[in-house]
Amino acid sequence: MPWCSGSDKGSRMAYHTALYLVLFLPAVCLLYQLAGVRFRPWVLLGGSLVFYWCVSGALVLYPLAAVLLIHDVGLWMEAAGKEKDERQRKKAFVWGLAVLLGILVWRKYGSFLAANGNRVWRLFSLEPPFSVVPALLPIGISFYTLQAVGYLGDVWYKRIPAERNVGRLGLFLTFFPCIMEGPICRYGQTGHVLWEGRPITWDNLTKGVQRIFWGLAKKMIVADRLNILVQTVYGKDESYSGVVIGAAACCYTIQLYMEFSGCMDMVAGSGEIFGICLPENFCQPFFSKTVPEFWRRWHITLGAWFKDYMFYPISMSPALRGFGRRLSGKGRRRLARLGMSAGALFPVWLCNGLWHGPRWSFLFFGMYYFMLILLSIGAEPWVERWKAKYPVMGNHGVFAGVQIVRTWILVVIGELFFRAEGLRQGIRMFCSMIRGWRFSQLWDKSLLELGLDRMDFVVIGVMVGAVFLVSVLNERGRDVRQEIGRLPLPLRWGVYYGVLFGICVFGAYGEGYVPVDLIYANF
Amino acid sequence: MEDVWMILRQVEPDVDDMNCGELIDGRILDSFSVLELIGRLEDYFEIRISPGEVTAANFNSVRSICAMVQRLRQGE
Repeated sequence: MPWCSGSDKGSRMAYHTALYLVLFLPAVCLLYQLAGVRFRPWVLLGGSLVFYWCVSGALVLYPLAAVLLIHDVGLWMEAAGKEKDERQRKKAFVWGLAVLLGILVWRKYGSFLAANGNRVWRLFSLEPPFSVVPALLPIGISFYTLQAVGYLGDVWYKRIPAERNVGRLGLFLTFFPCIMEGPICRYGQTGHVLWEGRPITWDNLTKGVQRIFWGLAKKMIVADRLNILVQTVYGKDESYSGVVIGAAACCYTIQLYMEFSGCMDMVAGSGEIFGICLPENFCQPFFSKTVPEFWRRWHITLGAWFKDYMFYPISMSPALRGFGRRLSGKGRRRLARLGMSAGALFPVWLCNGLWHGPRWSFLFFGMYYFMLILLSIGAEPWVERWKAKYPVMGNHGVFAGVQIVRTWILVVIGELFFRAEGLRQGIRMFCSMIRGWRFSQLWDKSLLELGLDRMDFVVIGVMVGAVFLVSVLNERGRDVRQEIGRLPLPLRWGVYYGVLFGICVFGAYGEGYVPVDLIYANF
Repeated sequence: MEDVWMILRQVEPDVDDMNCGELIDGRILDSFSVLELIGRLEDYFEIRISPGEVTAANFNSVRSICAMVQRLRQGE
C-alpha cells in the first residue's frame, strides 16, 4: 500500500536520505537556533508540517484534523469533569475515539475489508457489492493515531490535564523525527519538553550527530545489503527450499532489527540535537530468554501502548475480573490466571498484528505470538517445578544460552511470516523450509548465489559483530558513547572516522543497489 | 507500609529490598504481577483500583503504592 501521495517524494525525504540529513535537518536547526526561545517550538512545528507536506502532500490535513479533534475533545472532557457530568465526559471520550479509529480503519483497512467482504459474497454466488480501491495512506497514520488515542486516554484517566495550546498538541503529534516510524510518545513525557525551545548546545549537537551516523551505519551497511538476499528469496520463493529459506528468514530478522533500530538511532539523534530525549524503542532484544521478554525489549513503545491502553483496561474490566474471581474461588487459581490472560491478550495481539497492516499474514503474526505467550504462561508451573528440582541446571549459563537460542528460533519463524506477501506465501515457505532442510546447503555455495558475495558477508559480519559488542556492553550497564568520549583524542576520532568511512565505503548505495524504503514507514 | 510490603512479597518473593524504587522501571514486576498485586491490594484494603491508576509512578516503590492506597481509601 502506498504511504503517501507520491511515495517517490516520501522515500527521498526519509531520515537516511541526503535531502533530510544535508538539507532539511540543518535548515531546521539553523532557523531554530536563530529564532528566539518563544518562537523555537513554532519553528519545529512549521518544520514538521513542511516535512509532512514533502512526504504526503495534501494528506497533511489528516494529522491536522486529528490535532484539532483531540484538542477539542480533551477540553470537552475536562469541562464535563468539572461539572461532574460523567455521562457527558464519557460521550466526549467515546466520540473522540470513534472518529480517530474510524479514520484509521477507513484509510488503512477499507480495501482489505471490502476485498474480504466480496469474498464472502462470492461464497454465496452473489455479485460482490464493494468496490476495492486502495486508499492513499497519510504517512505515520498508525503512529500518530496511537499517540492521539493515548492522549485522550490520559485525559480520560485524569493522568494529565487537557492541553489548551493547540500548537503544543500539534507539535506532539507531528514532530518530524517521530512521524514516520515512531517512537510512540506519551503527552506526559514529551509534550512539554518539545515546547521548551531549549538551545542547541555543542554537546547535544555532537551527540545527536554521532547517534545519527551510528543508525545510518546499521541501515546502510547491514540492512540495505541484506535486503538483496531477502528480496531474491522472497521474490521467487518457489525456487528455494530448506536452509536457503531459513537463511533468508534469519537475514530478514537481522535486516529488520538493523533497519528499525538504526532508524530509531537517527530519530533519537535528531531529537537530541534539539535537547529532546525521545523514548527508546529497543533494549537489546536478542538477549531475551523468553518471547514475552523479547516483546518487552523490541518496539518497546508499541508494547507499552498496548499494555497501558488495552491490556490493563481489559484485564481490569468487571467481566474479566468476575470470571477470574469465580474460578479462583473454586480453587482453580492457575486456570483463572490462564483464562484472564487469554481474555486480555487475545484482543491485544489481534490488534498488534493488524496494526502492522491489512494482511492475513500480519493477523497470523499476532496470533502466533498470542499462542506462544499463552503457552509460556500455561507452562509456568512446570518450569518452576523443574527449576526447583534441578536448581543448578536452572541457574546455569548454558540453560540461559539455550533459552536465548530458542527465543531466536521462535522470533525468526515469526519474521518469516511477517515478511511474506500474504499468508499463503508464508505457509508455503515455512513448509518448504522444513521439508527441504539439508545442512549441506550451508557449505555447497547455495548461499552465495542469492545476490551477495563473500565480501558482502564479511562486511555484514564485521558490522553485526560491532553492534553485538555494543549491545553486550549496554546489557552490562555501560554507556558506550560516554566511554568513547573519554578515549584519548586520536583514538576517539579514529572511532568516529571509522564509522563515517564505513558508511561511505561499505554502505549499500549507488550502482548495483536499489534504494530501500524504511520498512516501518509502511505501517 | 508493612502490609503492602507483605502483599508485594507474596506476589513477587524475589523482591528483597523494601526501598527499591524501580519495581516497574527495573522490570521487577511484569504486567501479570501488577495485576495480581492489584487484586490482592483491592481485597486486603477494600478499595477499587481503576486502570488509570496503573502507572509506573504509582507502582515503582512500596512507598508510592502505599500513597496510592491511602489516597484511594480516603476516597479522593
